Amino acid sequence: MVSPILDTFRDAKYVMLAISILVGYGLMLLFLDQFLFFTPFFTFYVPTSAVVGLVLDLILTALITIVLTVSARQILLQRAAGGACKTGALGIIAAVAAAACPCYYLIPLLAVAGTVGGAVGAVGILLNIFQVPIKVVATLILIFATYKLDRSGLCRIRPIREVSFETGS
Amino acid sequence: MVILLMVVVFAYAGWRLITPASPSFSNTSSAFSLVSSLLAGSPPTLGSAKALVTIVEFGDYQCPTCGGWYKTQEASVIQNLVDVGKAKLVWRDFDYFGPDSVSASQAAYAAREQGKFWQFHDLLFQNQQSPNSGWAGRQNLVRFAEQLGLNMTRFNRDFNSGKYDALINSNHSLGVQAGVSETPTFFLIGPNGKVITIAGGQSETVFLQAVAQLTNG
Repeated sequence: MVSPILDTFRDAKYVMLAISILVGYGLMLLFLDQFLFFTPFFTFYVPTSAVVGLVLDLILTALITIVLTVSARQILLQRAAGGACKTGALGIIAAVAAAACPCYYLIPLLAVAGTVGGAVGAVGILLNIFQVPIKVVATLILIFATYKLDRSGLCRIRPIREVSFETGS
Repeated sequence: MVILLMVVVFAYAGWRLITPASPSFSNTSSAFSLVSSLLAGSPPTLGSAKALVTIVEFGDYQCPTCGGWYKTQEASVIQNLVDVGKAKLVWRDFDYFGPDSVSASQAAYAAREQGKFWQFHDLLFQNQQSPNSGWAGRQNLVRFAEQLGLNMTRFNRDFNSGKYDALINSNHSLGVQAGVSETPTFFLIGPNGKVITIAGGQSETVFLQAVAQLTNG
């Protein structure tokens, strides 16, 4: 029995997709978490107190890359096979839900800028305090999604039916 | 909903990546006026008045990033830039974490009346806990003042007078005007009025590099 995850990363176009997600999401997360700075100079800096946050960011980025890439492949295969496959869609939903965790940074930052405040700002600040537990929950969701994707039998389509990104037929 | 939030976050991150940290300094005439405003008045200042570079820090005593920067970087910046006369450090409040942030600012200014602003500033950051958990409540602030050996009659009178509210509000307005969108944000002002903005709790090496650039160029 071939693992759908390993199978996905044997295909060059999915490797390219994975690299794009890894770089794009990773850069965004590192920037929002203030590990990466573009001004006044390009700097990567990890305070000793934030090592846990960095490790969680890296784990989240790696898991989101795996889940999104494998889910995208599962959905394309499902479309080609016309079969019922829920794991691809569930994987996408899990990845997007987990990836949304940096949203809580947006609210306090906007509050700082004076554009919002009051209750919204208070919620943002509260979420900011609990960023490590939130990231741990997001990681658990992604681990579960990865497990389900790896175990999904419904989406294992015969290789002959496998399709490419471009044609979709 | 989640997808919408993701789009907002990506758009925001993209916007932050492509826009300068302080767009207000891009226009020459408004930049001149902003620099004058940043240096105006008599904010708490550490270091020699003759220092070529002025580092204006906008911070909130309850902000965890400000506390983190204080604990890991401020001492090195003071040692390598302020103590050697290359730069002076100016504090301006940018309180947004809640009423306790404002109380902490008021208490620091009340301590300043007795010449202990920076000692109080240090004590606040050394004792920082989660925002709005009560660590910067009025009772604790009074305790910090006692710990510093301040004249408590005078401290309580100044602390409760409300006389620093206008200054705290004007500092916040100045920060907004200067383009502060996170704390801590530092404006490094060189001898020729050139400004380098350092947004976030960046490392001491960035400050050394920026000061060198301002003094050499």
